[in-house]
Amino acid sequence: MHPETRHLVLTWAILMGLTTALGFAGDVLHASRLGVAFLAVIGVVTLVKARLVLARYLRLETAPGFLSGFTGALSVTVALIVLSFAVIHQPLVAKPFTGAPVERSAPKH
Amino acid sequence: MMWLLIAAELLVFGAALLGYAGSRALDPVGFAAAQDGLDRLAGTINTAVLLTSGLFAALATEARRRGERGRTRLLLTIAALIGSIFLVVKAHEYAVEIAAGNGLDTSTFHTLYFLITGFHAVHVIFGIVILGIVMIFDDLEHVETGTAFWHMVDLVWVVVFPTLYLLR
Repeated sequence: MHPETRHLVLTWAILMGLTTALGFAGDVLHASRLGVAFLAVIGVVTLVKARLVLARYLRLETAPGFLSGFTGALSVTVALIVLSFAVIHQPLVAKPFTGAPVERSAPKH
Repeated sequence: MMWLLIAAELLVFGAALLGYAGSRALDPVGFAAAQDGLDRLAGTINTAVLLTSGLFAALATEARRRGERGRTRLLLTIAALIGSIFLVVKAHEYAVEIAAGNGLDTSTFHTLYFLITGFHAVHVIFGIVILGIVMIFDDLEHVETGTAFWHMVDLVWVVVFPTLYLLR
C-alpha cells in the first residue's frame, strides 16, 4: 500500500473510532439527559475529528498557519455551544401526572 | 478561491449553530422534548457514511497526483455513491419526522433542525454534482478543488451532528 494511502486509511479508522466514541458519549440509543462531563467529552471529540479532517483530508497539515486559524475558529464556536448547554442544563423531562394510581384487586386463587 | 468559499461556509454554519444554541437557551424544555424525537443512531450512521466518502475523495486526489486517472475516476465515483447514501438516510429521517407531524413550523427546534440540515443536504447534492464534474474535467487542480468542497461538507457535518443530535 502506498504510504499516503496508508496515512489516509489510518486517519479514516481513527475518525470511525471517534464517531463510535461520540455515539457512546452521546448515548444515541436512549432519550437520556447528559451530564456536564459528557458534554465536555462530546465537545473535545468533535474538535479532534474536525482537526483530523482539516489536517489530513484537506491537507492543511502542510499549511500550519491555516490549520491553526481554522481550528481556532472552530474551537471558539464549539466551546460556546457546549458552554451554553452546560450552563443551561436540562434535566430529563418527567412524564406528566395523569391521575390517581389505580388500585389492583387481589389475585384470585 | 475555494478556501474563501470554505471559510465563508464555515462562518455561515457557525452562525446558524450559535443561533441554535441561543434559541435553545430560551426554551431548554421544548428543545429537549423535540430533540428526543430525532433518530440519533441514523445521525451517527450518516456521520460514518460522510467520513467514509471523504476517505475515497482524498484517495482520489492522491491517485490523481500520481497520474492514475482511471483510478481517480473510480475513487470519485465511489465517493459520490457513498455520499448519496447520506441523502437516502436523511430523506428517511425527514419522512419519519413529517409522518410524526413535525414540520418547519412545528416548533423553533424543528424550524432550525430542518433549515440547518436541509441547507447542509443541499451542499451534499452540490458536492455530488461537483464530484461528477471533476470526474470529467480531471485536471489535478480541478480534482483538488472539487474534493476540497466535499471535505468542507464533511467538516460542517462533523460539527452539525453533535450540536443538533447529541448535546442535551
